[in-house]
Amino acid sequence: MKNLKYTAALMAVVLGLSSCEKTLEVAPRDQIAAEQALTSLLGVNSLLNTAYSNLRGTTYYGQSLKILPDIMADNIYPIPGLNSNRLITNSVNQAGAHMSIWSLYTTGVNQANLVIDAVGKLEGAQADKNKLLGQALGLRSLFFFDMVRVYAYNPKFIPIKNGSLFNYGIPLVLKPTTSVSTIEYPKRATVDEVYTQIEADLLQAEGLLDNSLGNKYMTQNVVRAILAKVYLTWGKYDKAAIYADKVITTSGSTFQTGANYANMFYADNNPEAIFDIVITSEQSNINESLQSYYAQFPADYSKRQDPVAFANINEPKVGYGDFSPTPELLALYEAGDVRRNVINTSNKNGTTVTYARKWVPTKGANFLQNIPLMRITEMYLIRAEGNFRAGTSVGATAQADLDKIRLRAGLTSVPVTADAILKERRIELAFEGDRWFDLLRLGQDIPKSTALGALAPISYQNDFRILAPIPNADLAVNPNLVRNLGY
Amino acid sequence: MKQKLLQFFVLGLLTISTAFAQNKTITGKVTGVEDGLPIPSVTVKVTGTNIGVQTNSAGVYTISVPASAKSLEFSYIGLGTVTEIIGTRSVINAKLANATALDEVVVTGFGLAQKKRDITGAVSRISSKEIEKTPLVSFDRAMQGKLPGVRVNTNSGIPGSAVSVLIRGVGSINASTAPLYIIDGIQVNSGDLSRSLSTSNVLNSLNPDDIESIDVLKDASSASIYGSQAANGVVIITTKRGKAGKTEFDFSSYFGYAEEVERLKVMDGPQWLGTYIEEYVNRYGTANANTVAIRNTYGADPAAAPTYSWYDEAYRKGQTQNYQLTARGGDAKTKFYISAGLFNQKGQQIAQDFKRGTFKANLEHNVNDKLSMEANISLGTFTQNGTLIGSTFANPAFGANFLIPTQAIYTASGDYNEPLLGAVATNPIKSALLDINKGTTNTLQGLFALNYRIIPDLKFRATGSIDYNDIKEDRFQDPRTRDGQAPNGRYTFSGTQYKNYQTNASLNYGHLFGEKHRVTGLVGFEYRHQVQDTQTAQKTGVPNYLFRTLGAGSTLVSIASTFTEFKNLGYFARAEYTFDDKYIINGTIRYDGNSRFGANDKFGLFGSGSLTWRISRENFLKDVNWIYDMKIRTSYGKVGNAGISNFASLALYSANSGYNGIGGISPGSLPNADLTWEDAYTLNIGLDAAFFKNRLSFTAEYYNRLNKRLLQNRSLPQTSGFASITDNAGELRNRGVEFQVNGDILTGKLKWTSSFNISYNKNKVLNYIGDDLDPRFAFTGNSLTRILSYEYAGVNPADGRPMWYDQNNNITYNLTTLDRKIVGDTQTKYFGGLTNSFSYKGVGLDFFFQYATGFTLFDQNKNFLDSYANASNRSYDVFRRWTTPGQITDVPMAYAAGQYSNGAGGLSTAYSNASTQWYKPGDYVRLKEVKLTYSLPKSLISKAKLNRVNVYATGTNLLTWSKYTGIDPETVTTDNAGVPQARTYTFGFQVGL
Repeated sequence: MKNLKYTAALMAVVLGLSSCEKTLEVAPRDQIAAEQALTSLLGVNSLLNTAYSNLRGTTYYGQSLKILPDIMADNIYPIPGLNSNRLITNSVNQAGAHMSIWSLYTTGVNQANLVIDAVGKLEGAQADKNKLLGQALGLRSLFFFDMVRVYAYNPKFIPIKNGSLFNYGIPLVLKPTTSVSTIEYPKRATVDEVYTQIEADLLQAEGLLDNSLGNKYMTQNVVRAILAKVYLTWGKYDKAAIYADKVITTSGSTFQTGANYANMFYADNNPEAIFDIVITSEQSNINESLQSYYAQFPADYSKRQDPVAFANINEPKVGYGDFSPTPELLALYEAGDVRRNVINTSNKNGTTVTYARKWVPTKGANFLQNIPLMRITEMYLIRAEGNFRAGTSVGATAQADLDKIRLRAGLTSVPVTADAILKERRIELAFEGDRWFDLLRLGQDIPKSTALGALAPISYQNDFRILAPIPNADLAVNPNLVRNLGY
Repeated sequence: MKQKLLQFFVLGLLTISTAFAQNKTITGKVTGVEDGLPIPSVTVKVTGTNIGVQTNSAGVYTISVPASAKSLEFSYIGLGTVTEIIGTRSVINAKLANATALDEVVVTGFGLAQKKRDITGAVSRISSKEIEKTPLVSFDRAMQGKLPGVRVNTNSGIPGSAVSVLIRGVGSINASTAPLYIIDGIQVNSGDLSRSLSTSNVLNSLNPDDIESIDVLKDASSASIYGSQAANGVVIITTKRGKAGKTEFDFSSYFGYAEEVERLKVMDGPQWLGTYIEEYVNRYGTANANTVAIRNTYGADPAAAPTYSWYDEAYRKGQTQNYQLTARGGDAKTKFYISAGLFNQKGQQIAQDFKRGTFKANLEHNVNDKLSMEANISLGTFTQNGTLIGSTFANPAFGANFLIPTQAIYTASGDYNEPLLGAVATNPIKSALLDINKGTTNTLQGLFALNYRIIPDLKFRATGSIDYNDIKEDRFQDPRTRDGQAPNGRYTFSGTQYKNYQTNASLNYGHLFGEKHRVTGLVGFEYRHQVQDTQTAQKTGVPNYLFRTLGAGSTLVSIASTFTEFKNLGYFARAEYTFDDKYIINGTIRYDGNSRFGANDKFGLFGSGSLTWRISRENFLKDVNWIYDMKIRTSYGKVGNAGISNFASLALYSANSGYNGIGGISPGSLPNADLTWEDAYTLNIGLDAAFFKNRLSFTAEYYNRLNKRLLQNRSLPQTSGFASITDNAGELRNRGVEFQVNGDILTGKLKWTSSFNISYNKNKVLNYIGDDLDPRFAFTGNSLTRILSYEYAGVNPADGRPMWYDQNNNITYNLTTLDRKIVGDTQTKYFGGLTNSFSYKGVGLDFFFQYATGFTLFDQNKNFLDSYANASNRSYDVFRRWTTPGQITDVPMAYAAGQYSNGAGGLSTAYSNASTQWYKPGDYVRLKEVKLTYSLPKSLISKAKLNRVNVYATGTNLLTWSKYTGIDPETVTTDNAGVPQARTYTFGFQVGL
């Protein structure tokens, strides 16, 4: 009898088991399986949209790459005793306090690679596929270009470390990973190899794209503008001038003059923007937005350009307003320069402070503003410098372009020299994330403002803080990766 | 499948025929020793047989016994067992007394209840006596300091805040470390399930007054019946049941007030301004523009500076009220317990409160001799109002520490003063009082159980249950506050629902063969399916601040929903053989499948075995009268931990907000078909001993728990597109010793009982992927919770700069990560408690001390305040700052922004880094509770037809002795702008009818 009972129980257990696998099936509803996600161009386009969204990330153009190059060099400094303690380690270039965009590999680069891979496998109209492919190539090139500028030396100025050239760029990852078994452990390509890849991809994208998407997407015009900057950084000045000229030809009429200069930053879509990275309200707030770091604004949006409100201590204000232009930068402005109009005084907690107001409330809300990747003015500056250094005059002479920049700023003509162009470049692009990279592309040391006390310049050749640290997590798992020395 | 099981039982039934020779009838009455009242439903059984009956509502029974019967056993849960020799008697009356500690019934799952003396695993319990009369919001707090091996941290004074419970150390690196909670047979969710509230605890929904007992299963032998859920231990809560007899009504209530247990001592206006100006003078010189600017902004004359106490604004006297009405009663057929409770707490910090309503009904009904059923229904609703926590500007507790004391809270016209000067412009008092941070948790638990006695020795039990949680959270940033200003008011609603369906069926067998061979067995299966849904909606732009609803917002910012689920299927069997009450051998096996795991590893096998030797039954100890009971237990087994996210093994694309207003999709993680459980292997050796008729008893345990296949993120090169993949690779070991001693020191008119427990745990990492290659920084070989930080070396007496010891123990001003050292551990080494209870006639006095030692806390408050890095208030510690060359102190010279010269031509803010300047030992002893009770004499209250009247007064957190320099040593890991725990004073009464 007892045997029977146990047998019965045992049989019940066995019978129950046969349907176990099925019993445990679950179905996620918010997410879709990887194998379904990219089966149509529509799905690929959705993934491309995510690739774009990286541009507005706070470690990327959403904040860091637009403010740290000014903080880490000598354009702005934290107002003593009246700052929120944010980014102050960057202002004194504390070791490790640097731009950090390595994670673009896990986001943007991977997403772009998935798009490029998927487009090649899918059926569809060639024109549609070209558009997807061109945008993905353009985005990936931009990611690579920024990473190689942050993690590697300029190809023309590679210092000798421990007896040999420290010619390490970044790993060139051109294919997506789909399973653990296909993971690769790439080494850092040489700096020139990286630039060569970027150039090839951008040239391909140029051929695939047109300008029908407008200035919020990766168009042919944007690809050419990036190419111009890549060539300028790479020291290929003739090509830099050629590509800057192409961009000016397409979008030259957007150049803002005279009093319109300061106002263009208050437009919902900056008229000079070659590529306006769209910020939607979901990720614009006090902690992330550039506006918050650069100035305190009246809480009342309608007073965003009201000098009385700025000066009034009792006016409710929003933002941190942590950073001020350095005395060295302010001293560069000549009398009557309309570009000085973006720098104003304001009252912060009873103290008068100087604020740069290129990052301002737009679209009816505080902390909300699209971020121009590049403005057309920069193309004139690149064409001028490219022509000057190459001894060419593609589109216009260097003198003509320099005059154009100065005259619209309300200044007079000066003879063109490399220094004259660089001075305009510094003033024109101040607070827009250019200064650090501009010094590095010429192999120059980074001066520090006296506002921070007596700090030695950061030597391009000798100071390890020129390069950002490659994340330890990656160095630990990838033996092929060479560490940036000093970290 | 349940149907099939039933068919087999019916089949089994038919084969059973019972025929006993019956030739004697015995009758009698069973009464209570204490009150002499009849006790219904007492089981009366012929010793060594299956013949049994129950007493009726008058306590009377009639039983037919075979001629061979020698004795009768009378038993009733909670009242122990009495054996009467039959002899020639035909009327046998029995008296049952309250059970001694060893006869207490311990609940071990699936309807199993064992006497404490027969327990073969490591099980600890507390009963209603220890939970009652203490003003606790949730029952998990009652375990603190009372159960060896169970570390409970109640770190916050926020009403209804989360509690962390760790059983025998940290047994996982990334998966859950929380034990499995089972309330009346239902596996329930625990922890903080809220999404926008700062802190919550879903177990708040159970009224502690409804609890009969809490049993904690700590070793594999006791917990392995729960297989893959049991690696962190199992907490079994049994609620109160009905009692046959006269219906008893009980009304109880208490009132109390609360204040924060300690405040951080911060400077007043003149002290602060003097220090702050000094920081600038020291760094820049007196005439420098920066120093002048500071003087202009904050005032030039410290002596004239006003003082405003942000503490006084942020805190208030907290209040607590509790009301509870219960009715319990029934007869031999039907028993019930019904209760309703109301609890209301006003927190000691402004804008924080907690309200709870509970209802409970436990019903039992015997359909006939063989079939009985149970229904348990529990309803609970609690609402919390809170504020933001942590180093958020709008947190009043943060502001109370942080804000500069020269700034008024209100302007002369009575408005809130805002923006404030200094690093924080937000007036947290304003934010706390204007914003909404509200959460309501509604829970429902219902269980329907059927018990069928197939034959007296074989019982079948099947249950079906639902555990349902619904959490609604509202957050509103008022347009008048700084955070709400820009969006002109922001309203966020979060809805969360957990639906948890469970069913199980089991067969339970027990038989005594002959006089000495006792066999018990259990087989069954269990199925659980949990679904979680969430909804979130956010709108901005309300017409004005009077419109405080989601509907009033004009711009829809986001609306989102999520869905997730898991399923768990388990089969289990347990068998136990006892020889002569002397040797007990026990084995458990469980086969579990869980949807969370990869296709290749969905099922796992768990199990345990134990051997128990009751030495006191051996001949050589039989005659040693002073030894009452003594047994040695050993067990070994394997249990699992399935506490990972539901779809962790799948490769999925999820939607995101995309770009330029058009949605996007992105890949989550790489697929992982091999993802599976974490395993815990536990060896447990225990000794239970009782002396002098159980007046002195102790339990000692040693355990060695190996946690293997721990889920860890294996770093991938980010260049692969993925930062990491989850892998079963880590290994941890927790070894420890637990000791508990209970004594009835005085048993006369003046009674004194005392109980002490101490636990020791040592954690060691045996394998850790991605470990630091430098052994100095590696986890492997160290505790998982060890703290790697810098060793502070004090202040250079010559120039007042802070110094640290570098890796070679030389003084440095310029820290590198190579200079890190192990400076402590966040987990306690020793902890426990001491309880003393005195009673004389109707007066009782209880003292309960709780302690923990051997751990380190991060005093983040002082790190924020005193590192000079922020324009904030400073604590009294800064009075010790270096001012004169030659001065020996630990607080460096006041220096603006804390950016001292690093001696290498640069500036360093290293003083604000974590270091032993801010990591401090947390050791403490706390007088956790003092309770004075008085039971009015029966003679007095019986005139008013009352059964019992008790009045009591309770104080909690009254005294603390601690090495810790921060606010509260009961903090978990870091002391970051939290609301300190409350010191409470409560007065209550209980009237029974």
